[in-house]
Amino acid sequence: MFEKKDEFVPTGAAETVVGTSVKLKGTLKSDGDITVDGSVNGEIKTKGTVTVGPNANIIANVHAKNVNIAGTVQGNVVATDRLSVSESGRVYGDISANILSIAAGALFSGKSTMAENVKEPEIELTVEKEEEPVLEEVLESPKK
Amino acid sequence: MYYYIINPASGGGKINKVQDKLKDRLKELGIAGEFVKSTGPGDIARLTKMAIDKGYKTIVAVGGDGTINEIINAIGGSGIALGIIPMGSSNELANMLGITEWQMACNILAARKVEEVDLGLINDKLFVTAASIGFDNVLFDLKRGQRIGSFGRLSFMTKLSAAARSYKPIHLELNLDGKFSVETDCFNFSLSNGAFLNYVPQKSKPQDNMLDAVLISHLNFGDAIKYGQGTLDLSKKPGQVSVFHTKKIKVTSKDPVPVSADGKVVAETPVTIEVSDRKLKVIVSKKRHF
Repeated sequence: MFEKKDEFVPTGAAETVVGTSVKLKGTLKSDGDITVDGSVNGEIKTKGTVTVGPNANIIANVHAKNVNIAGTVQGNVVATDRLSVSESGRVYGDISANILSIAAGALFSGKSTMAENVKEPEIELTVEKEEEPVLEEVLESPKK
Repeated sequence: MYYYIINPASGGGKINKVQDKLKDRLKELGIAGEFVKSTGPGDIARLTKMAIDKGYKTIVAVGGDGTINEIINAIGGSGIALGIIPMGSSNELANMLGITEWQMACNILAARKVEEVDLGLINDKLFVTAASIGFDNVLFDLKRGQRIGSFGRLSFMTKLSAAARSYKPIHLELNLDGKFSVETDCFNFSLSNGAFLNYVPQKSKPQDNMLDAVLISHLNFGDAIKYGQGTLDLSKKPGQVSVFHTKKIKVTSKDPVPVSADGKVVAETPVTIEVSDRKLKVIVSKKRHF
C-alpha cells in the first residue's frame, strides 16, 4: 500500500475537475488543484496540484507545483515541487521537477531535468564563503 | 418597518397553515410591519416596486427561491435588504443563509444581520442561487406541482421514475471567460453562486465574485432517481462530474434548450451567464454556510 502511495499521490477534492467525457480546448488556469479525467488540448497552469487520471488524454504543456500522471500527456511537464508518473502513465515530452518519481511500467519519452542538478554549483559557492573572515579583516584594516 | 410579501402559492400553500402564528410571533418581536399577498404571476414585482415607492428599507420574502427571484429582479439598485421566511418547495438560498424554518427566520429577522452576496445574470435577469440546464429543470417542474404528505411523495416518485427513464442527455458547448471551451453530452449543467446545490464543492462562496460551473455527464436510471431525491453522492462518481470556476460563460447547444434561474425557466440556449455587478443585501443567520 505504501509503495502505491509513493507512485501516485491522490489529491483531495480538486477545485477544477475535467470529467471523463469532457473535451476541453484552451488554457486552463487555476490557483487551486486541477483533476483531469477527460481530454485537454491547450495548456494547464496552476499553483496547486494537477492530477491526470488513468483515462485522461492531455495534449498540452503542464505547469504546476505537483503533477501526478496516471494517464497520457503529450507535452512538456514542469512541476516546481514533485512529479510522479504511475505505472499506467504515459508522458511524451520533456519533464522538469524538484522530486521525480517514475513507476515501473510507466512510459516516458523525452528529456528530464531535475532542480537538484541545477542547484549543484551553489555548493561550490558555500565553500567560498568560508574565506569571508579573511576578506573582512582586509576590509577592516584601513579603518584602523 | 418590514414589508412582507407573502406568496400563498409557494410550497403548495405552506404559509396558509401558519400564517396567524407567524404574524403573532413577528408582533411579539416588534417587527410586524406591513403584509401583502401576491395574487398571480408578475404580482410580486408590482408589490416590490410598491414597497420601494413607500420607502421601505427591508422586504421579506415569505416563499421560496422563485418568490425571491422575482423580488431581487424588481429591487434593482435600490439597496433594499432582503429577509426570508422559507415557505417554498425549494429554499436553497434560505438554507445557505442558515434559515431552515419560519420560527428561526423570525428571530433572524429581528437580529437583522446583513451581508452582501453576489448575483448572477442571464441576459437581463438576475439570480441568486443557481442557473440550470438539463434534468434540474425537469425536477423543478415536478416539485412545483408536488402536494404535501405521503400521497404527494408517492406521486412525485412515480413522475420522477418516468422522467428519469425517458430523459435524454443534452450536447452542450461552453466557452468560459473566453479562455477555454468545453464540449460534452450532459445529464445536467448548473452554474451556482455558492454551494447552493448539494454537489457543488463546499469551497464555493456566494461572496467570491465567481460562479461554479458543474457538469454531470451521465447518470444511469438508479442514480438519476437518487439525484432527483437529493441523495446521490456525486463525490463517489469520479469522472462523471466536471467543475470549473468562471465569471462569464457562453452556452450553446444544437437545438435550443430551457435555462432556469432560481428554479424558474427564464431563457433558452444560446445564452450568456455571468456574475452581475450588482450585489444583494440579505439578512443572514449566524449559522450561515459561508
